[in-house]
Amino acid sequence: MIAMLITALANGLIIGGVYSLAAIGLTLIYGVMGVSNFSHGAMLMLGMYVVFWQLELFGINPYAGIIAAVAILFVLGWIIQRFCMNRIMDAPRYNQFLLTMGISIFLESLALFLWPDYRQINFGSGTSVPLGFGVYIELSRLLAFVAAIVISAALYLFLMRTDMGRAIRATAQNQLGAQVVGVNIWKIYCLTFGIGAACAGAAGAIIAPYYPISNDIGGTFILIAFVVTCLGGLGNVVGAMVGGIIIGVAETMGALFIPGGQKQLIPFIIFILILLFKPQGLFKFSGYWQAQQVK
Amino acid sequence: MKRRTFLKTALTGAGLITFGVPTLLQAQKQATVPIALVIPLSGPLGSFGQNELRGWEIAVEEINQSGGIKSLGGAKLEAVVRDHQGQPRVGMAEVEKVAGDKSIPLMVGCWSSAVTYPAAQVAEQYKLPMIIDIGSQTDILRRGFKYVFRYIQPTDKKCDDMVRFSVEMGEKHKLMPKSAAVISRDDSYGKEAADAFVKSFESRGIKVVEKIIYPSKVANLDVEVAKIKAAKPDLVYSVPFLADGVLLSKAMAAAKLDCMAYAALGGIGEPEFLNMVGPLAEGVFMQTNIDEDKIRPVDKALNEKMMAKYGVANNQFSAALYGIVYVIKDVLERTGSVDRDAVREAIAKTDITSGNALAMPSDFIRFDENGENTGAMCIVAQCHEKAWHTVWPFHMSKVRQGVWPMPKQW
Repeated sequence: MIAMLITALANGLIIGGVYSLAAIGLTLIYGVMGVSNFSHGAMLMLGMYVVFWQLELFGINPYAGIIAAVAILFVLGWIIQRFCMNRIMDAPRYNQFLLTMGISIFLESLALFLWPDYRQINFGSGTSVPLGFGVYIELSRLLAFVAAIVISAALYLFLMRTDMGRAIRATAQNQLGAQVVGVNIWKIYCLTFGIGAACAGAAGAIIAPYYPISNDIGGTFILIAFVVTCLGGLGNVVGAMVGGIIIGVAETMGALFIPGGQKQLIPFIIFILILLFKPQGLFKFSGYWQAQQVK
Repeated sequence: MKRRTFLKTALTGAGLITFGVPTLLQAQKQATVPIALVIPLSGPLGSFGQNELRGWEIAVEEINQSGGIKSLGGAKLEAVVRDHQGQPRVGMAEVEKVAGDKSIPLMVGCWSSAVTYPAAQVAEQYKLPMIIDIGSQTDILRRGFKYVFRYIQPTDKKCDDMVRFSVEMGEKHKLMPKSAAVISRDDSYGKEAADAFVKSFESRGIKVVEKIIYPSKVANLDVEVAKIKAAKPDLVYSVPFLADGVLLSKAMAAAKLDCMAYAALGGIGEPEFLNMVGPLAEGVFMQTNIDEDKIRPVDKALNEKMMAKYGVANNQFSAALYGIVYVIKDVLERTGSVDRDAVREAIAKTDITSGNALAMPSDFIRFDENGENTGAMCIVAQCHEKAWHTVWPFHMSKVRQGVWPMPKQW
C-alpha cells in the first residue's frame, strides 16, 4: 500500500507540474486580457511536434528542443494576437471565444493533414529511477517535472522582477492606469499571448519524450488545465502552479481509490465544489477579473 | 471578346458542366457497383481506418483489373468511402446517407464497436446489408438483426480463446498461470472484453486478482500499473488502443513489473506500436486475426503489395478489409444482382473455403443465424526483435515457437 501511495503521489506531482505549466499560460492570458484561450491545447500539441521534428530531422536532444518549442510558440502566439486577436479586443467576449476555437480547429486539422498517424519519441524509454519501497519513476517523467518547475519559476521571476513583467501585471490590474504611465497595452497583449502560447508549447515539449503525439492530444491536458485555472483563481499565476499540483495528485489518488475508470471524477468534483463555494478560486486573484469586479 | 460572345461562351460552358458532365459520369457509372465503407479515417482512430483502407483499395483494384464482377457483365467495384471520425453520431449519419443511395447494394464498417453498435441498427432499419469488419462487441449481433453480418470473432469468443491460449501455453511449458490482472479502457468494447476475460479466467480456475478500467483519454497509467504490481498476478491482460497501449508498456517497464505473460487485445497491432515502444515490445503477446509470419501465399502476396504501394506491412486491419472485399465479390457473383434483399440472402448462404476471402486465416467462412462468421479464428502472436510471430494455435506457429514465460525486460 505504501508503494502504491508513493507511486500515486509522485506521479500526481509530476503530471501536476505539466498541468501547472499549461494552466499558467491560460491564466496569464485570461488575467491580462480576459480571454479564455481555447486554442491552448492545439499549441501544446504543436510544442510536442516541434520537439519531435527537431529530433527526427536534426537529432536535437528533446530537452534542448524545449528552447525552440518555446521560441516558435511565442512567435506564433505573438502573431495570432497581433493580427487576429487585437482586432477584436473590444468586441463581445464570444467573438474572442469563437476566434480561439477556430484557431484550435485549424491547427488540429492542419496537424492531422500533415501527420495523420501517431508519433513517438523514443528517448530514454524504459529508464527508471528508484524512489524506495520498490517504486520506480520513469526518468523522462522526472525530467519533465524538473523542467516544469524551472520554467514556471523563471516565468514567475520574469513577471515579478523585470520591467516588462511589471508592465504585464500593471495591464492586468488596470489597463487605463497602465496606459497613463506609458505602457503600450497592445504590445503587452501580444507579449502576453506569446508567453501564454510559449507555456503551452513548453508543456507539450516536456511531455513529448514520453507521451504519444497526435493531433488531438491537447484535449487530454487542456480540459484539466481549465479546471486548474479556476481552482487557482482566474488570472493568478501562483494559483495555477499550486492548483496544477493539487489536481494532479487528486487525479492519481483517484486512480488508486476510485474504481471503474473514474479517476478524473475527483478533479471535476473539486471543480464543481470550487464553483459553488469559492468561485474566485483558492487564492486571492489579481487581474482582469478583479478589474471587472471593481468597475 | 465582346460582352455578348463572352456571355454566350460562359453560358454554354456552365450548361455543359451542369448537364453534360454528370450525364457522362452517369453513363460510366452504369458499369460499376458502388460498395460503401464507413470507417474512421481521421481523429484518434484514424490510423486504424487508414490501414483498413489500404487493404480495401488493393482488393478493389485487383478485382477490377481481373475483369470486375462477371455475373454483372464485368461491372467494376466502385469504393464509396466515408469517414466517421470515431464518433457514433457521425457514423449513424454516414450510414443513413449510404442507405439513402439505392444504387449501393451493401456496406462495410465501422471499425470501432462504439460506432458499429448504433450504425448496425441504422443499416438494419433501412434493410441495407452490412458486413462488420472489426467491431467485435458481442451484442451488436444479439439483437435479432437480419441484414448485419460479422467477419471476425465476437468479443466473448475472442477473449475466451485468449485465456485458452494461456492455459495451453502453461500446460505445454509446465508452468501454469494461477492468477491474472485485467486492465482495460472504459469504452463499451473495453469493458465488455474485461468482463469476458474475468469470466473466462474464473471458469478455468485462474484467479483474477485485479480488474482495472481507465478512461480512454488518459495522461498517465503509472498508478494503475502500481496496483497491478502490488497484486502480483501471473498474467496481465489488457485492452488498449494505440496511445494508451504505449503508455501502459512504458509504465510497466518503469515499474519493473514482472509477470509470466503480458497480452494485449487489439490496439497494439498497429505497425507504429513497435516503433513507439522499441525494445519494450519484446516478448509481449498480442491477439490478432492474421498469421503474423505471413507464410501463406495470400498473406505473402498481400504483404508485398502493401509494401510496394504504401510502404507499410500488412496488418490485421488491412487483411480484414482485403478479405471482406473478396467476400463481397463472391456474394455479387452468386446473386448477379445489386438488389439489397437478394444480396442479403446471398451473404447468409456464403460458404467460402478457399481464396483471397480467407485473408484472415480460417478453414471456411459461413454465417450463422446471428450473422457471425463461424469460421473466424483467434490467433496469438509474440513480439521478437521488433516483429510479430504467430505462436498460437500451435499448429500455425511455423517460424518461432512462443517463449513462456515471456523474457524479462529489465
